[in-house]
Amino acid sequence: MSVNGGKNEQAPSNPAALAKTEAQLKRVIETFIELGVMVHDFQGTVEAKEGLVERVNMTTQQFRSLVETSADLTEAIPIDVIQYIEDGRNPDVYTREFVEVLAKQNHYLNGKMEATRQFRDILAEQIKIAYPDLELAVNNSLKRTDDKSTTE
Amino acid sequence: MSTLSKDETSIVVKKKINQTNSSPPPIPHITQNYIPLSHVINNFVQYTYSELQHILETLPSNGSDDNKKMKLLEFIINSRKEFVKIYVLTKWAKVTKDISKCIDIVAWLNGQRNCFDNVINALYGIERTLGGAKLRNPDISTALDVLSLGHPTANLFNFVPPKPLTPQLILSTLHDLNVLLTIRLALIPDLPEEFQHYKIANGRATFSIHNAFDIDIGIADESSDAAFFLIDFRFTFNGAQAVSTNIKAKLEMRSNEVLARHGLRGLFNTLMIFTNNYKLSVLHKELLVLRNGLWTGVISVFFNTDRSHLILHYWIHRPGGRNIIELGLSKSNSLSLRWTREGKVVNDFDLSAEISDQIQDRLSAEWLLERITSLHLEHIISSTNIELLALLNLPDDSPDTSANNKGNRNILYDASKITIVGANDKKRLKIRLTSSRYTVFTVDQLTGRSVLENPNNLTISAERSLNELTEDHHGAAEVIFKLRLISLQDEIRARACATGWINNVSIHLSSDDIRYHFGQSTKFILYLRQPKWPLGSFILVTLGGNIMPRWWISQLSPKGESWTINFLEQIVVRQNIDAVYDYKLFDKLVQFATSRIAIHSICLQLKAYDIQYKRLKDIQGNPIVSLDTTSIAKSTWAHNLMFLQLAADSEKNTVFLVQGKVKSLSNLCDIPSSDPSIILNPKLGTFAIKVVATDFMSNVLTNIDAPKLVTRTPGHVATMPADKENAKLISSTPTTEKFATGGIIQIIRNKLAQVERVVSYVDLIRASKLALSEVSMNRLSFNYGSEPSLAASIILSDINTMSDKFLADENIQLVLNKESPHRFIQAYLQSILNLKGLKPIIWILTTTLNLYQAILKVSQLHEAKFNEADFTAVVDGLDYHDLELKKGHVTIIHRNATTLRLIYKDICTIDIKLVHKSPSELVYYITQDKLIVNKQFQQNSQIPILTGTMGQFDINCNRKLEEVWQGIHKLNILNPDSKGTNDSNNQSSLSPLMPLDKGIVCQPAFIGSFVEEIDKLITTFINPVLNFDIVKAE
Repeated sequence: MSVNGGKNEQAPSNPAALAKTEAQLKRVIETFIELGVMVHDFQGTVEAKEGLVERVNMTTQQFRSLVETSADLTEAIPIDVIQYIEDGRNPDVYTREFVEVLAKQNHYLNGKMEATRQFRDILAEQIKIAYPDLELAVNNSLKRTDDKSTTE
Repeated sequence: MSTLSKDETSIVVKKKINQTNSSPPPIPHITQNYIPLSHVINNFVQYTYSELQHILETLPSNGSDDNKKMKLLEFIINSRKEFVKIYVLTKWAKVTKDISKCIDIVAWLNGQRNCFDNVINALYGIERTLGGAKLRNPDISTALDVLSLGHPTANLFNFVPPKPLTPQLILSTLHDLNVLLTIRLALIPDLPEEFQHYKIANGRATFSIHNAFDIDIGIADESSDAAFFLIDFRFTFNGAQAVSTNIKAKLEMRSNEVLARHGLRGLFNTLMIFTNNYKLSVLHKELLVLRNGLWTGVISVFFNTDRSHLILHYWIHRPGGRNIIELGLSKSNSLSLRWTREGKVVNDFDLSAEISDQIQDRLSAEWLLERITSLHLEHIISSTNIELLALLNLPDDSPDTSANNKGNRNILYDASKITIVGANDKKRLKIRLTSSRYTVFTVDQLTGRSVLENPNNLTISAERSLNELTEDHHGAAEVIFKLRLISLQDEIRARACATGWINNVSIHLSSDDIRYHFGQSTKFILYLRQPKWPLGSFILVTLGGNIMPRWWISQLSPKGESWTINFLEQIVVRQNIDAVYDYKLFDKLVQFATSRIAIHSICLQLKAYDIQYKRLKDIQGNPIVSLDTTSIAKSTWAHNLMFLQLAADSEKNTVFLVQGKVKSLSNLCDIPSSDPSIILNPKLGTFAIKVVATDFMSNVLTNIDAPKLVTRTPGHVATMPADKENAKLISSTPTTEKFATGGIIQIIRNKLAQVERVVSYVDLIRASKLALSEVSMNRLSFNYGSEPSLAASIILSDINTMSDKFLADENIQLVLNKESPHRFIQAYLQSILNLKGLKPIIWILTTTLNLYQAILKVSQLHEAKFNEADFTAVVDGLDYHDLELKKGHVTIIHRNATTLRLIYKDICTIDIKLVHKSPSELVYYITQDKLIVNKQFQQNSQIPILTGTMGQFDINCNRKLEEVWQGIHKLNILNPDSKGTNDSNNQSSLSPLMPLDKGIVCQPAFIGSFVEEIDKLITTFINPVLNFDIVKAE
């Protein structure tokens, strides 16, 4: 997983464009349904032919507008999610699992931080006992690594 | 580090902290594996559009409408499904910002986690490296002191030195300790037996274990359960080295542990194990030295220290089971030895105690090795000896049951021939091989190789097979036993070859035959023969078992690949192992065996000739063949039984001697023995035929197998008279064959025939009442008249050629006196003699004597008259033929012995023939051939020179003769009595002449006179002719 130079350069989202694209997609889907019905019921009459041609043209029209609309989108999608949808799975499951991993990692690291802090205090205490000369230096180190002191 | 600098650094750090606090660093954003949504939609729309376009373009070519519909509908449905997915993606895209953030955080947290892991690893590293911090600071000042002064100058770190112990204190303390030890040891209930005897002195208890170790034990305090501790340890066996300080320290530590836990018993066991292990290791070292020294390559040593097990494998190249000496600890922790000899553990060797004592005491590996190998060697020698003796006592299963061969002297070896030799030890087995050779069997103590001393080829190969025995030494006895047989065989062969015998190695009898004829135990057979002997004749020497070599005369014949025995007869050779098979024996054997073979072959010939015979033995056991004389040859003079045997004559030649008795002495007593091969003894009435065998032997013997065989009676099978006592005739030779030529039988037959012939002739001559003047085997002379000219001889040559008509006198020559009247018909007589024998000759000679005497007289008379005339004067005018005719005027033509013709030239022809008047009476029948006379007369009448006078006297003569034939003209025939040649009584009553129609018959007694008278009559007519011829010539 590469890191983008440590900068937060994520583009601002464009909810309007997203909604517009969504609506356009809905239309395309509906057009496909209609087109399917027409083809299914196609009788070979002139009217039917004209209707079908018109509908196909409409579809291509909708394709064009869809491309135009989607050009404004800034969202980037992880490949894993695309794979999820391609496999017919719910992308929300991906979302949920990822959030759970995050929470777990957070807990673990929190515990590590706490343990390390305790170890630091004990070590400092022992060093101070064993080497009284180093008390100042130890205190200095404690002070600099104490998150409370750093927040002060 | 100064305090100022600390402050400065803390300030710098604070500044930095403040800077960072103002804006915490952003979480790095992840961009990889993201695809813009617009990109997705754009691509998909383009794809769908192009697909739609493609479908619409290709739709018209899709056949029916339904197909077109289906195709289009498929596309539409699929596209809609994909657009639905795009729609879902778009809907999800609403949360994409948050999810992206989540991903960033997770990645960051992972980085933090790695940081913690690194910290922990770093702490571990610090922990490891802190060990160096534990090192003490160097005591540099002391080090400098030691370096400069050689010793530290600082005082002993202010220690207070203890007060020196006073001798009194030491003494009392030691005494106290002694008392305490005494009490303690006395109170221990289960003191080991070996520790029962101890010595307490100087504050310590000393336990001594013989041949092991001494230990000193001390005690620490006065309490009743105070622990003992080890003070000192020493080995006390020979050859042990002093225990090094290092080992002693370890031993002390270990001993004190054991003392604390298991008490003195435990200590004893531990120290015994230690001591014995030490002994084993010392032995191991010694063995290693031996292995690299004298015993290189013949021992291998392995020491398992964990199991206290020392394995010594000696004689490693000796085949058979392994020979191992194992040393280890027994259950009682003492050293023990196990000896595996040839793969079997030796339990019963009574020297284990001695060996273990020696091991405990001397601890010499070399001694152990030598002792064990020595024991092993003695065991091999003694067991081989026992097995050899057992082999010697094997029962003899040979089929020979002859009484001569029983008894002790037939034993080949007895126990005295095998002796164990050696000054102090029984390591050598001396074995007599033959009378002149012995060998000594022993085993090399170093390598275990079997050794046979006194080497030659045989012992070397035997030694090789001894060393290849894979079993154990059990085979050794058999190998040695075999070696003795081979040595004996070799000696016999060598001696035999030196005396001219031939050893045939290519003959193989079938094993069944060998078993059957010579017994199971027969191992070797030597085939000896003389060069002169026929092909199948051999002397067999069989060796096997523990009996003396047996000698056989045999007749073998090849049958396929192997040979079969046709004839077998055992020879009893007086021998024992001490006897040398010297040249004399073999010389004797030649004679002996040759005679046996000759007799055997003669028997074969006899059988082939269907001559009845029987094999006998004389007092000395020599073979004799008794023959039926009548079946050999016709014999009127000898008894039916003859004996044939081989004997030596005065010149020491071997001769075949045929002896028999004559029936009556008179037959032969007068015949001088001119033939040396035929001996007649008139006094005893015996005869002997002697054939020198050396001359005939090869010929005679060769004829046995000579290919000149003719079938006599196909299908006829003669039976051999069984002679089980003396010989075994295994299978008869072809019985339908006889020998074409030669052979001793033929010679004997010829000799007998020769005698028979002479005897028969003598008998005949005597029966004819003729005087025998000379008699020998080759010549018979007799007179058939009183005059000396009437002598005849018969010269008999030897009969050497075989013929069924050998009595037909083909080899008889008749010799008549030069003056004999019969000399003119000698050729006829010879042919009659050859055809019909002597009897008709004698008959002719005596019967026709008158006639031929008269003929001779007539012939001589004419020759004399012819000579009286001056013949030479007329020779020029006559040719030779005329001269011949005129020579005697009478020509005598002998038709055969009893028929002759007198031709009076140009006058008449008179035939005289001896004929039977009756079966018992002979007469001469005389005729005149008139035809010839007339014819001659007519022919001659045409000759101008002879016409006239000649016809006249011819006619007169014939007329006169006619009168004679008719009995008109009486001749003056003399009474034969006056000549005294014939029986006068019979003849006087008879008329001497009897005229017939043609010719006249004359009694034999008067024929001489008659012929002379006739001649006289005719001559009177011839004389004028002679005169005429001579006158004419004049």
